[in-house]
Amino acid sequence: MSRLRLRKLARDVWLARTRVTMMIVAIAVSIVAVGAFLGSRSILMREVGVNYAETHPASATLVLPGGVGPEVLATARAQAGVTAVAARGSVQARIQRADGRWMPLVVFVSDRTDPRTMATNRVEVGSWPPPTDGFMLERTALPFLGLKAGDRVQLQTPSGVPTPITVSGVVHDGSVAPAEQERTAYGFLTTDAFHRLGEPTTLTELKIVVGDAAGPSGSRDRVTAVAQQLGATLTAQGHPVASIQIPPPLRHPHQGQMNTVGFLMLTFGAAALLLSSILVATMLGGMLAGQVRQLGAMKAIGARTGQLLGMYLLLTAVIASVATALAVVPGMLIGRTLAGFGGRMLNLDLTSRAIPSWVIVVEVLAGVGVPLLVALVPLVRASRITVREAIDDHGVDRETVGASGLDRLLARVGGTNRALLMALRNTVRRRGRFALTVGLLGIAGGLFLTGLNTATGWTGMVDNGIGVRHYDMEVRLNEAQPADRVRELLAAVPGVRTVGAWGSEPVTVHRDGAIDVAHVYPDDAHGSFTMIAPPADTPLISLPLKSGRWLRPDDTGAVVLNNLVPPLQAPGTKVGDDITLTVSGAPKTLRVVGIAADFGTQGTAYVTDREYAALTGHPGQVRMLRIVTGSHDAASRVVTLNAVERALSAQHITMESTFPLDELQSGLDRHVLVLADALIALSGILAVVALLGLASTMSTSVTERTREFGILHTIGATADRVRSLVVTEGMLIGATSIVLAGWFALPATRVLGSYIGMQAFASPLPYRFSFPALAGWVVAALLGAAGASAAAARRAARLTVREALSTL
Amino acid sequence: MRHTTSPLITTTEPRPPGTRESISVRGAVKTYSSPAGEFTAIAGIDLAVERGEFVAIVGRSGSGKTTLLNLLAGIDRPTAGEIVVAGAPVHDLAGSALASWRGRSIGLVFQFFQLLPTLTAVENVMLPMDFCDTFPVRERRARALDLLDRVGVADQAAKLPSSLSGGQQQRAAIARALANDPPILLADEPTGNLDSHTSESVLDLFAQLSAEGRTVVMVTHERDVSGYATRQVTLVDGLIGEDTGTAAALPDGRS
Repeated sequence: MSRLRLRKLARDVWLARTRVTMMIVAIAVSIVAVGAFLGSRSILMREVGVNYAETHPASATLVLPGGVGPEVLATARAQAGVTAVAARGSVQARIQRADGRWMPLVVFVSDRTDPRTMATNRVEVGSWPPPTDGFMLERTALPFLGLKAGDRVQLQTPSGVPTPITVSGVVHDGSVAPAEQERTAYGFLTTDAFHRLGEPTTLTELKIVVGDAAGPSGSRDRVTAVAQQLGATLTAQGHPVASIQIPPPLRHPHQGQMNTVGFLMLTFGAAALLLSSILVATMLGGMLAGQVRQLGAMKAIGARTGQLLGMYLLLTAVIASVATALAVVPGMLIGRTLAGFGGRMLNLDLTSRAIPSWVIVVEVLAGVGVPLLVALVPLVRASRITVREAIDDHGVDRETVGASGLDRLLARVGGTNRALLMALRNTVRRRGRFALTVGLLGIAGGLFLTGLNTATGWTGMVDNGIGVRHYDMEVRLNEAQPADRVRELLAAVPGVRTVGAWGSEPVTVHRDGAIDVAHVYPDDAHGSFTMIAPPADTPLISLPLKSGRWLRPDDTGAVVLNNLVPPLQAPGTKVGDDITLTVSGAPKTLRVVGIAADFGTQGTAYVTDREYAALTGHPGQVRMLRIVTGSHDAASRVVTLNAVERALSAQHITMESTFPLDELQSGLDRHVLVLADALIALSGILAVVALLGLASTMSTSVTERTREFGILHTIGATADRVRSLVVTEGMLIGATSIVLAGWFALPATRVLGSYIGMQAFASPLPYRFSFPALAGWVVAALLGAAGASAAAARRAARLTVREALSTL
Repeated sequence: MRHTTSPLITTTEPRPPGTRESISVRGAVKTYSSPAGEFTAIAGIDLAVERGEFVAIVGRSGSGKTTLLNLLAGIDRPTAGEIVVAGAPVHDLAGSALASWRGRSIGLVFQFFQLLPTLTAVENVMLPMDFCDTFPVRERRARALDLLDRVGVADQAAKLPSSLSGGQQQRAAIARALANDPPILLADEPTGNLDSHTSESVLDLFAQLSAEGRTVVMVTHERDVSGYATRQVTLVDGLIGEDTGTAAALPDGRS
C-alpha cells in the first residue's frame, strides 16, 4: 500500500482518535478477559492434575475387615497390573475446635514404618512420623478449626473417648478439598497414636496403584478389573474383601467444579470477544459512515473496491493488533492472579504459573482474526459503495424510509413533543445499524442477566437444599442405638422440640459374582453412597421429585434414589428399574419408585423405616438423628446442639458427626461461591463491552447526520434541543435493547442453568430470574445510554452551520 | 503496473480512427423508482460531443442536468440507451472496470469540491495517480505540484482543504481531476458554491482546458456562460430543448 494511502489512514485515525481508542479498549478488554480465563484455566487444570498426582493417589482401596497383614501385601504386590501397595486405615472422628465446637475429622492412619510413597502428602510444618501423642493436620483445617501447630486439642475416634492430642505438624494434601468447603478437617496419624485414642492397631484398607511403567492407569475399567482380580485372590486365600473403593481415576474430587468454571470462563470470554468484535465492526461502520462522501470521492477519482477494502482492512488489523499487544501482558498477569485465587479455593499449590504458549497464540489469533472477520461485513459494504450512493448519503436510506409498515406506523404516532417524535423516527432510520446496535446491547444485556440469573439459580439451589430440610441439626452416631432410647433421652434436652431417629448405613451397588465397588474418594464423602430410612410420612424432609413418587408407609421393597445415584453409582437407573444393594453385608433387590432432587448430600437411597428394619434385621435401630429445636437462629442451634452432645456422651453414645443446618448451608455456599462470583465478574465484563458499543453508535449517528444537525440549527433548533434529541435517541435504543435482553435471558438462563447444574451437581439449577439484576441492567442501560450519548449530543449541539454544511 | 509518462496535459486517449467524437449518447432514458412512484429524469436523449468542446448543460431545477452528467460519468446507469464516453461503453461497465475507466478517462469536478479533508492539496492531487497507478511514484509529487501551479494554487499545496478558500478548493479539485490526464472533464455545478469573481476564473480555466483540446461538459445554473462554453445544451423535462450545436464555433475557431 502506498505511503499516501497510509498517510490518509493515519490522519483518519488521528481525527477519530476517541473512537479508535474505544475500539482498542473494547478489543483489549475482551482479550484481557480471554487471556486471563484461558491462562488461569490452563494453569489450574494443569496444577490440579499435578497436585493430585503428587499425592500418588491410590487407584483403588480394598476393605478387608480382617486386616491387611504381610501376606495380603505380598499377594497384592504379586498381582499383575499393581505397581504399589500400602496398608492404611481411616475413620470418621471428631475434633474440638478452638471455640469448643466439635467438628468432623477424617483420620487417615498409617504404620510408622510405612514409607508413604503412595496416597501421601507433603509435610509443611514438623516431620513425619508424628509422636504417639501427636498428629498432623491438613493445612486448610488450621483456619477452619482455629488451630495452629503445637496446639493441644481434644480428639475422639468412634471407639474412643475424647483424648488430648497435639497438632505436631501440618501437611498439604492435594487430593482433598479444602476443609472450609467440606466443613470437615483431615488429620494424619500413626497406628500408635490411633491405638492411644482407643482404636485397634489393625489396618483394614489395602491401597493399590494400578498401572504400568508409564504410570498410573486412568481407566476405571482397568482399575476395576485388576482390583476385582486381586480381591478374588485374597478372598480365596482366606482374606475376605468386603468392598472395593474406586474413585474416578486421576481425577481430583473437585475436578467437576473446575471444569464448570473453565467452561463458564471460556464461554463468556468467547462471548465477550465476539461482542467486542461486533462492536468494532459497528464502530468501523460508523467511522466509514462519516467518510461515505470521501469514499465516493475516491471512487470518483478511480479508486477500486479492492483498494479501499485493503486500506480499511489494514486499519482494522492495526487496531486489533495494538489492542491485542496491549492485552497480552495484563491478560497473563490477571490469569496468574486468578489461578492463584482458584488454587487457594481448591487447596492447590501452584508449582508453576507458566502460561502455555498456545494460550498466547490463541489470544493473538482471536484478537486479530475475529475482529477482522467480523469487520469484513461493514468494510466490504462500505468499500463497495457507488459514487451515486455516496453523493446521495444523508444518513438514511431514501429508498426504504417511509416505505415500511414500521415507518408508516411511526409516522402516525402523534403527540406534542416533536423532539421525542423525531428521536423515535430517527432511531430506526438506519435499520441495519439499529438492529446491530440493539442486538449487541440486547445480547450483552441478555448475557449479563443470564449470568446473574444463573448465579441466583446457584444460590437458589443452596436455598432449596436447605429449604427441604425441616430440621435444625443433624447428629450421626458411630453405632446404631435403639430409636426409643435416643428419643427419650433427647426429649429431655432443653431446646429440643422433635427428634427424627432414622436408620442409616453405607451401601454399595451389588454385583453378582464380584466384590461391590464404591466410587468413593478416600475422604469417605465425595462419591459416598448411604441408605437412609425416614418414616414415609416424615415432615422433616420434603425432597422434590425429578420422576416417580415419594415413599408410602405401606411400600414393600421400594426405594427412592437421589439424583446423584444414577450418574455416579448406578448408571442408567430410572424409575421402575430394580437395583440390588448390599445392605449389612447381604444383597437386597429393591424397586426404584422415585428419583429425588437432593442438593447438599452425597448419593442416597431412601427406604421406609419398616423396609430398613427388614433389610438389616435390626428393627428400631438408628444412627441418624434429625432434630427440630424451639428456636431456629444459629446461636440457639449451637447451644442446643452442645446440650444434645452432652446428653449423648453422658450415656456413652459416641457421635460420628454433629452439625447445625447453618453449617451445612455454609459448606454448600462455599461450594458454589467460586462459581457464582466467576459468573458475576464475567457478566460485568460483558456489560462494559455493551456500553462501549452504545457510545460508539451514538457517535456514529451524529457523525452521519452532521449536515442534518446543521440544518436543524438553521431553522432555529437551540443547542439544548439538539442535545436532548440525541440523548433521547440513545435512550430509546437502550430501552429497546432492554426488552431484547429480557427475552434473550429467559431461554438462555434455562439452557445454561441446566448444563451447568448437570455438570457440577447432576441436577439442573432451579430456574431463577433475578429481578434485581434486571433492575440493575435497566438502570445501567438507560443511564449508560444517556451517558454514552452525552458526548455525541454535545458535539451535535456545538456544530456550527458552516461546519455542518462543509463536512465531507 | 501501467505507468504512462506524459506531458502535463495532453489528450492522449485513443479514439476510433476517423472520428473526433468524444461523447456519444443515443436514446438515453433514466427512470428512478421511489416510494412515491416512478420518475423519469431523462426521457430519451441523443447527444454527440466532439473532442475539445466545452459544453454547458443548462436548464431548470429538475430538468435532468445532473442526471445526464451522472450518466456520462458512469455514476448512474441508463434505464435504456447507449452511452459511449472516451471510446468506452459506459452503460456496460461495472465494478473495478468502471472505477479504472473513470480514474483514467474522466476528471470529475463537484460543486462542493469533495477534497479529502485529511490530505493536503498536493496529496489530494496525487491520490488519483496512486489509485490508478498511472505515473511512476517518484514523479507524482512533481506532477501534482505542476498541476496545482497550472490552476494557480501552487502556493497552497501543503495546506489542508479546510485552510483553503472555496475558490482555492475548487481549483485544487480541478487539478485533482486532471491528475491522470483524462481527455474529458465532467463538472457538476462547479461554480455553484463560489462568488462571481471566483466563478469567472474557474470558467476561464475550463475554457483554457477546452482550448487545449480537452473535452469539458459542465452542468450549471449560470444563465450566461456563452463567453466561455462553445456549446450550450438546454434540458427541459428530461429532453434536449435547445442545442446551440457543435458548430456554434469553438472560441479559437477550431472545428
